[in-house]
Amino acid sequence: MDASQVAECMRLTRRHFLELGLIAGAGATLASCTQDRLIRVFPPGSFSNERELIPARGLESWAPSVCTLCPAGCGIQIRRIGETPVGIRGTPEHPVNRGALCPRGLVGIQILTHPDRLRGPVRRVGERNENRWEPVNWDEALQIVSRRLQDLHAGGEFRRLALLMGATTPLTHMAFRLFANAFGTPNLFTLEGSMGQGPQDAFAVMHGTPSWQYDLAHADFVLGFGMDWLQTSPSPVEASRAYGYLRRGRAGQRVRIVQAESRLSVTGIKADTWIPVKPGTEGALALGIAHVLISEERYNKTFITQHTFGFEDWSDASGRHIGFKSLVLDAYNPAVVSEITGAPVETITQLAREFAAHTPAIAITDRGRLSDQMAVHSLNALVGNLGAPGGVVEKRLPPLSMPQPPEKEVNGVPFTLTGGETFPFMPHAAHHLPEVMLGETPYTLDTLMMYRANPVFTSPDSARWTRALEQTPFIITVSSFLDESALFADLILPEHAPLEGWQDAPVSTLDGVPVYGIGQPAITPLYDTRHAGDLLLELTRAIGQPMTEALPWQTFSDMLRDSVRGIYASGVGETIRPKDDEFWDDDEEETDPFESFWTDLSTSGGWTDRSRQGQPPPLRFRTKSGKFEFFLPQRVRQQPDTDMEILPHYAPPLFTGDETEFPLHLYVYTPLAFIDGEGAHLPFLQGIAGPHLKEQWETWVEINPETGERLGVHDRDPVWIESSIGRIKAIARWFTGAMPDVVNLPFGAGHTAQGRWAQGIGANPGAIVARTLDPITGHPLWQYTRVKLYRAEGGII
Amino acid sequence: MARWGMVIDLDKCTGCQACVVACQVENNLPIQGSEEFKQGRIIQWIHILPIIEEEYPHPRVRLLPMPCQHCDNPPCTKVCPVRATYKNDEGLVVQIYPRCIGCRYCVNACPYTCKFFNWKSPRWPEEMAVAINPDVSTRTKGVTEKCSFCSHRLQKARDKARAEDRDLEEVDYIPACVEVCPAEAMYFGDLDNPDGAVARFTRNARAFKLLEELGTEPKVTYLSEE
Repeated sequence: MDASQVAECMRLTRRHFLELGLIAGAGATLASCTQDRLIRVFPPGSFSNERELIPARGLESWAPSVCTLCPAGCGIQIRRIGETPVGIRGTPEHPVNRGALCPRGLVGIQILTHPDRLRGPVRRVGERNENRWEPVNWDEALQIVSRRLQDLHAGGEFRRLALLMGATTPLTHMAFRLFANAFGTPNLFTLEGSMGQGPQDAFAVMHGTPSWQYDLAHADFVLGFGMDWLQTSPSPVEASRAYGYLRRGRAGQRVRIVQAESRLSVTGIKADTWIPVKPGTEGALALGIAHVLISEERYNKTFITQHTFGFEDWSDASGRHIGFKSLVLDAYNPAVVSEITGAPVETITQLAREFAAHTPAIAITDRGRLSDQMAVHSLNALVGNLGAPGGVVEKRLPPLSMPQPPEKEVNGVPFTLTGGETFPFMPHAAHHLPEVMLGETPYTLDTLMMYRANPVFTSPDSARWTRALEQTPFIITVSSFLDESALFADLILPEHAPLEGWQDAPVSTLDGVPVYGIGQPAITPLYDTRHAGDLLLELTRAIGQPMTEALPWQTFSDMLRDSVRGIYASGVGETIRPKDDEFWDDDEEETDPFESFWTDLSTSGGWTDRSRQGQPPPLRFRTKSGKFEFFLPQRVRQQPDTDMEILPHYAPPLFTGDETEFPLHLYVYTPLAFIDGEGAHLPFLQGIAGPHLKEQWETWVEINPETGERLGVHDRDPVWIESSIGRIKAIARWFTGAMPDVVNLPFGAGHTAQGRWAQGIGANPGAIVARTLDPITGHPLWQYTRVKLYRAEGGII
Repeated sequence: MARWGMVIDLDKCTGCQACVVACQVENNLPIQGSEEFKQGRIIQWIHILPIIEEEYPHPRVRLLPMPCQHCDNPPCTKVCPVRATYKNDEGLVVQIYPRCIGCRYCVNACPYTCKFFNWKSPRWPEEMAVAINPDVSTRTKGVTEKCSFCSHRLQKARDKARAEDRDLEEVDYIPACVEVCPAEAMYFGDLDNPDGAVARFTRNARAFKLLEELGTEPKVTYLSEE
């Protein structure tokens, strides 16, 4: 019954009870009125919803799936009442999360039912960024895109199509790679985040591949440098579980945790000791520790000799080169490092000795400046924890048979768009894209397709992106929400919510168990949306050859099924959830054994091989020397000026902003609520943004009380934070975990689009952080902006 | 009868707030926003209480998850004029939402700030309204609410045990927050089972309770760090 019927009931019942027999057609109405009055205990109008809240009815069922909101790949079960999803819980048997979940995985259903989700394809009306759209059906939308791409292809202008992707599942990413390769464009860019990734670039340089991770739970001493690993990490649930285990998992063995950071983060709060260091100097601290380890001979000499190259001085065709040992002993004694970092000499020395005294000790850092990443990671080599439990271990991924793009010859055509500044290590540096697009060399783009990428929000100095997008002739966005970047699109193709489509998550647990999580669609799609993989296949068919040859699958689930043949062929492992019958039952006569395997796999949440739990993969480096390399290889650093520049060294931070005009440092961090800048559109995540200060639903700036006093800024004053490129407003909060003259801003709020709970809440630090890219990797560096801070007039913002 | 209690190990808790969100999703907590935050009216049945001591450069911060403490001597039940909240035979401090007259005496009386008043009608967008948890009643404007130790899950566990013709076991009943905790920092069970984890932890050297001096006899026990 709705409100008006109820009101009708009330009137009838109150005044006309005895006359009911005389009112035509009232009989049935009255019966239901009376029953309703008996059952309902709340007066009408108690609910401000248009209709009364009636929960779903039907049989309860649980659909196994995998969460793909971050790369961790936790196993989930979706609770359905009839056809309606009403809850999510963790899969108890899943090796990654073991029944637990992080706050983000829990709100998966709210993404599905979000009132501001895009419900069908739309086309721009009027000018860019006017936010006016008209619906268009899928056939027409795909025709628009395929015609444009066919024209480009026919004209030989393959390169003028660019694809910009955010975080997605590996198979979806591969589908886009195949598409780009078949079309003939090298311009596939992935917009990767900076916070919570770990030092992937140092791994790539020093090990030869980025596919390594921290086996946190089995360490005996954890030393963090600037990475808030309890909040932002590649696997949040595993990180929390590791913490609990480190502290209380083994009787009588409580592992010590130390955090060196320019702010008291959640990890710093939970650590035994917080070492405040001046912004941008964590690398120096690591090198000071290395100095003590080397000069006091506390490092693992066997490991260094057997498995590393570049520790001692060495010679090659171009002459004699100093090694890591010489450089450190020469340049980074604790007194020098204390001067740089602000940490006392005693602290540096004690820390180094403690680090060496535990086996395994592990040094953790995030994806900041490459030289800092390498400096910290060198400590792991020095104590020889690489490849050992509790140290830095290679990932062990499931043996998928992923399709690979074929080798292609492109004669005389530059393989990237990066014409201006070059990043030899990351030739596809997405973060440098706006400069190249604006520079219009070596050629201009015709069409840009963005998939789950929101660079206008997630990039520092986002004005560069808006300028670049404004001048791109045609933009297609594939996304579930109308975010800041989608506002620049000409055509928006909405994708399914994760629960509505196939999900794949091939991962390695931190201690080396390969897991392939898989999820079938748990419900019928609510709106006129498509799975991104299916969309791409439809587009492929619309374009025709040569695309259809490279992407021959009918649906994304067909592609998924092919990709698991490798697991089937391996003959090892088991389903994540126990099956009644033998998983590897080859006695099936009726069914094709692979089909039977596929059914088991896709209905049980996935596959895993627990047999090698706790045994990291054998130590193997894919560098040129076959060993851990202390330096940047030649191919990466084309013209080093000195040996020091190719070794892990401390490079003074590249701060922006005049020191006198902007006397404070800005430190940007990402709360767990907003990993990768995503999450502010979900209300329950907005509600957990700042627990240490009871902050939520706004942007606050943490300031040391003495600094605040000096500036005349008190707790809860509205303030402006201004840099050389702009200013934003926030609420000042006095925090004893803020260093003097360093102010801390959370990243993730401050949207101007993306729905009612994101839009207009808070302020985006990206607007005031200057564009500083690492000179080698092209990755944005967030911590190098100087600011000033002053009270804002007026009251609450 | 069981006497249900909870243990939270602060030396394992990472402050991730999975418990906060799990509770909100499980118990159909209202969707709020910046307005409610500014008014101090945010409803989170389990929430993190930050405790900040000392000063830079040696600040000492603790992040304390606070559910309803389900006191054995609850101040809130004593002040309720209409018995809309009372302690039942199993030690759970339960609520009868339709009885509540919105006087907020209990909100005032609770020393842990664990009772929350609905100043507004909880409202869900139409699209989200279908997906609420059917096991938990929604509340209305003018009604106080709080953590129930997910007592609806106890009812379900009882029904299941009855259907399977067996007794209810301790492990059958687990609140949403305890179930979801990634750090495995929370424990829940029958305090009157002397061999159970919960009872043993209350005798642990690190065990303490909040505001014990008030005589509320909370049934949530914390284990201190270190």
